[in-house]
Amino acid sequence: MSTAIDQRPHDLLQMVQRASGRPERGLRFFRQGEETEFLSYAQLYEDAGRIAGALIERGVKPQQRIAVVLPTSADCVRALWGVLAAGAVPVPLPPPLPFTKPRKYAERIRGAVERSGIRVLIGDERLDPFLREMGVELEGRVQILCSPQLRGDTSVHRAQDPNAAALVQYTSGSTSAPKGVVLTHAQVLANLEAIVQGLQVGPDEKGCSWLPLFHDMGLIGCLFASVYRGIELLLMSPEDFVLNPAHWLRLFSKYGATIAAAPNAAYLHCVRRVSAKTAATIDLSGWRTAMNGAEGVEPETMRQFAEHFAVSGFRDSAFMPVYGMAEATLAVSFSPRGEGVHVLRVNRTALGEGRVVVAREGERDAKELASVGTPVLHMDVQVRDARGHELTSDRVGEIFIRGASVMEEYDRDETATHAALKDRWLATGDLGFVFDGRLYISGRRKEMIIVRGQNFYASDLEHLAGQVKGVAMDGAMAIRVQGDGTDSLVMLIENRQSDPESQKRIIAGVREAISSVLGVAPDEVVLLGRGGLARTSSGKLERYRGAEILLRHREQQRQLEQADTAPSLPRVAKGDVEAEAVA
Amino acid sequence: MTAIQDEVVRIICEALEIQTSEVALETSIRALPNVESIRILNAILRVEKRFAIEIPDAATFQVETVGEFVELVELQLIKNEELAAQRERAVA
Repeated sequence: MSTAIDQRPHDLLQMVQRASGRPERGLRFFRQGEETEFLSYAQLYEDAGRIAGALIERGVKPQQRIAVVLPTSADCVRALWGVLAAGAVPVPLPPPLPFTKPRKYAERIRGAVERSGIRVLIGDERLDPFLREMGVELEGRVQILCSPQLRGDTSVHRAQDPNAAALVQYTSGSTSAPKGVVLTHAQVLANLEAIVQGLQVGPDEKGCSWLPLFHDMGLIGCLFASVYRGIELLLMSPEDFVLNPAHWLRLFSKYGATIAAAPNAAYLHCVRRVSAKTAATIDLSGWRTAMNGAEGVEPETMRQFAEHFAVSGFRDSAFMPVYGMAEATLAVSFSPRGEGVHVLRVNRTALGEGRVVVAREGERDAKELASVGTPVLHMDVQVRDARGHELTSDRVGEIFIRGASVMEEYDRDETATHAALKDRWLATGDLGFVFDGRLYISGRRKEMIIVRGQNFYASDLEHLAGQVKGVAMDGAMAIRVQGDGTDSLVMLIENRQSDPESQKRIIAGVREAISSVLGVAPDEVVLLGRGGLARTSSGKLERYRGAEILLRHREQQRQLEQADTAPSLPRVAKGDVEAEAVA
Repeated sequence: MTAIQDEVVRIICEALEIQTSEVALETSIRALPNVESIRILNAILRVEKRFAIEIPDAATFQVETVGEFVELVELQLIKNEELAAQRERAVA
């Protein structure tokens, strides 16, 4: 297929200008199923100029990093392009969470603010008092601007250098290890071209997304890709999706959306929360491409979803497992469009040993893996062993990527940049293999925990737990436990307390520390005695042994319960604990 | 506990699927078990429906404990009453 795209843009601002040629095209915003606003691409281009005018009046310089902390809204999109039109660099960060005070929110974004030297933050009217208080928390070093008030007297669209930074994507915003991926206009555009070609997006298709705009999949994969292709995009908030996933599914019926992306857990959420009766009232027959990425793709979840929504006319050939990461801009590999999920059953024990052995029919010791396809345009993928040698197919190793859209630096962080990049090859930390020409992911980065579609650094979780009174410094370990469709987060905590009241306080404290900063609730907080965690001789946590520690702890608990005189209910395990394959 | 306190606590417990014994007015909401964002949103939505009030997003950022949340609900109820009284006066 030809690209069918004339005059490729050289920067992200030109991209909007090009899309604005069709005045009826733009972004439609929805709240609880009702359309609330339409922002045409032409209007977006004009509004961006006005915002840029206001920013420049306030002294914003080219390449200056500016945080955008807005919920999914037209204001958020205007602010992103307003910053770009001013020649500055937007840094999208998560907006605050309910029931957290400015102090906690400041803790969540402080790492990014300091690392990228952010002096200006664009927020929103409703958050005004909150943001003002936050300004105090950040000791007044950050000027906080309210987006609806940003309208300059003049409209400015500064010329852009395609090789200058266009965006900083934080993969982790909190204090322990903030890493901001710096991407140039050229890099982002290279990935957008790869995405649009990989999806074979037709000129009249429609996207539809509830993914947060401060994450790569929502920002690049949905928002930027739609603008790049000049197609309409229907947008709703993640909150609306979690409360009622039927709102999302109805956008396919009512507004003719054809393309969407979501993590595995979201498909499971739809199965669990949308009744069969409701499913029968929704028409999904026009849904052409259902990307599944950001966390492990579970074949079983895809089957459940296809079965549950068969009554809605959903076709399982629409499924498209994908693989990507912020460091690559977004897309690394795509399954072929229209083929559905390609499943491989392998021997589980052999996989743990790094070998790919296809399981025999009916074999019990088998694991199903969904292929994430082949590398996208301008992307090279290699699987390497621990010494850095490229492996032949059928062998598990670490995935390395190189290409036109792969970052060249983390913002102001030479140490992290050197650790990740060698000869322009980026070590992803993910484990996988190539089989029959297709890429499979068999294990995620050891330091990364993916729960309910969101990525968290274990070090961030541990750092927050470590600050709770009663938890020893470095006395917390975050592990993930594989469950049904999505994984759960377990915190292992070393402590000295033995009375139940103090123990309860520690457990509540750990939950609060993590939830109020990162918004995720640990599924379980397990208290261990001193020395209960595994460490290397130099005192470094051995996270790969977390599963083993949890299993042993549960076994001990079971024995204690059995030792009690009264018969007790069996302890319900939260999913099977499974030690991850370690290269 | 007052009737409003009881009701708010009941709704929170229902949304988080926890026992009322785990909740006191001084408990931080974020310290409760199962505080996933979806459940928190659910709790807010249910409280809004139950009391026929609207809780502004910004207000939830000023609130940390269960007791503070109850106060927020009471405040919105008072606002509703004032609005109703105004309307009555306007009609009369």
